[in-house]
Amino acid sequence: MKGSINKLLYRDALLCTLMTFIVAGLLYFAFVNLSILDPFEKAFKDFKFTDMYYSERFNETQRNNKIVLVNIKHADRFQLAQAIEKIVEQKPKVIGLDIIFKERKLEFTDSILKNVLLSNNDNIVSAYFHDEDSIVNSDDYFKTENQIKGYINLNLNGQNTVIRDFIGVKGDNVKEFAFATRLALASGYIDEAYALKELRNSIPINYIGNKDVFLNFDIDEISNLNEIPALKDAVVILGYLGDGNEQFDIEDKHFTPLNKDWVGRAVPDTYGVTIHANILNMLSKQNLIYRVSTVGTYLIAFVFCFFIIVMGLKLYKRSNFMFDFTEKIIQLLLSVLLLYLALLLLQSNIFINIVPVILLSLLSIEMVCYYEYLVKYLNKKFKWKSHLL
Amino acid sequence: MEKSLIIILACCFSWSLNAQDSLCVFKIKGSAYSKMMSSITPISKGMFITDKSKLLVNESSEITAINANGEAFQINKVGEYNFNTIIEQHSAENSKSLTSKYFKLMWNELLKNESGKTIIGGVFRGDVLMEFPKDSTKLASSKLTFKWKIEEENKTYYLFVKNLSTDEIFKTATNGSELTLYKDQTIFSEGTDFEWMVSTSEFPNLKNKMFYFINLVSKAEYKLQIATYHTLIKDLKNLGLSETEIETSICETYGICK
Repeated sequence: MKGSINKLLYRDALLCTLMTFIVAGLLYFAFVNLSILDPFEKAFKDFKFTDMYYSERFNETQRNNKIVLVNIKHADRFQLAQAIEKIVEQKPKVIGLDIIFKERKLEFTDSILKNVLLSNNDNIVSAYFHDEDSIVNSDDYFKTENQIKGYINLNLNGQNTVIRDFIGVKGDNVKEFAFATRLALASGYIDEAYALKELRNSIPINYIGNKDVFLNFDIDEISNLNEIPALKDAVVILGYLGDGNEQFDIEDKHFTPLNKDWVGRAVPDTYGVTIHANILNMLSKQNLIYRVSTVGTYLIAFVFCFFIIVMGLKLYKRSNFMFDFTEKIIQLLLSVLLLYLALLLLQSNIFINIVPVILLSLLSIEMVCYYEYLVKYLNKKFKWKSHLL
Repeated sequence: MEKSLIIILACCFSWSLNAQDSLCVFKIKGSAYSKMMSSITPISKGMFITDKSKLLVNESSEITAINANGEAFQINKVGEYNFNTIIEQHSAENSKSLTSKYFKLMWNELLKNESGKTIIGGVFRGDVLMEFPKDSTKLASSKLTFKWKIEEENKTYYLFVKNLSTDEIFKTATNGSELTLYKDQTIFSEGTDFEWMVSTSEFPNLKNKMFYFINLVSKAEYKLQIATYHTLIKDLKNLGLSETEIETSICETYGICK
């Protein structure tokens, strides 16, 4: 007798889970795909619950002195050339220039900069970017033979304004490497086989923090100090990190999950060069985040829904009042616990898009009442048996 | 042969161990020194503190050093520290686990405990520390005394004097609230128009900072300028003010100073 009740309970749970998925699918297509409601979809694309992991600094604070950032401010080309020479003297592993010298300026300073770039050609990674169908490089004057270059594009398909993901290698026949990938390759943190195997697909960036977690210098400090031992064997990236009044400076500043406001971001939070440094840090430690596939996510959601519905059906059968009374509390606890689970997974370098799991789990509790109406109707028509009857 | 090989290997091994025993200076506020044997060298960002050296931290200074694993050690008290005492000063930033941080956040969200951030509709114009000489001052003196306000949290101030004729900038650091420069300094060798500014930042964005203009005048020109206020001077004298008091009063009110 007990066995057949359990069988009925599990069959009901399975059917109710399926019903939850069908209703969720219908709601998704009916509401989200309506163009009039498109702003909602767009707004939610910029929001991910897991952003709070970085925003609230749930991760352990790590600092890195093997990746050194140099703030070029608005230094002219002569100052840049001097700074690069000074850095080269300290014998770093590799120097990254997150700068594009779009056009020529002064013959004298340009020639000095070119000479510095030329004499350290093997040790410098330059930047370029894709702008729709064209490639934007530094002026041809600064081009050197066998120049090491990496793309600095951070916007990917499906990634709105918040920089969460990164693609390390692009292209099928002609391979293109991202700036951070190039730096990791040149400094020997990874090899090409690893890059081609692991970095072809979009992977979540494992942020360790903003510019304060990296050893950073202003270009004036580089020029003024005689010796900087920390630059030896480090990867030094030159880029823009603000020129005073940082709070109001948004040049090359982007939205990332590090933003203090994880909902309703208003001011960009992280300079481009810091994003590259975070990616490089992730590659240097080969500390990539594994993303659970969409199918995997929905399978996990299905399993969660099934067991939540089993408990819901049991509670509903025991007491309708208790079910109605505790329904909202259960939903609140469920969302808090599921989010906690997602953050724990993220701490173990597993990223799961928890929103569908939370939404489907919450909906599954709501569906228990509707499922009762359905089985009552089926029972009336086809003598359908159910745990609830 | 075997013995010497073992000694070489042991030396290499101990050297590699020593190489790991160093901390990189990650952040420094104020001043600190590294003492090795009898030599003392000032510490700057990017330097290494080894187990052979001692760290001397001055008053109101703060130093953050990190080890090879990126763990931070923070010292903000005056004193002499050896390597082992530094690594006891573990930064407390990682003391809370994800679980406690997360549930604290959830609790605050539930109770709507917001940070109470003040939002204002306005802009700040100010943060000017300079007190003397005031903006657009005409100064007749062989020495220039600059005075400024001091802030509680800052001990070091950077004085910038810019020669408007040559665009040359003179920069110096001090821990007080005033500094006197004599006119035989090279910055004053050419031109009469200068600007000055005091900042708490070593490398401020000079384009974005407010400078006070000063015009150096000769004693004769000063007398000429002061002569235009002869009626006021007469009135002040009648009120019983001394010569020095009158000069100070004209300097503060009209920016003509001696």
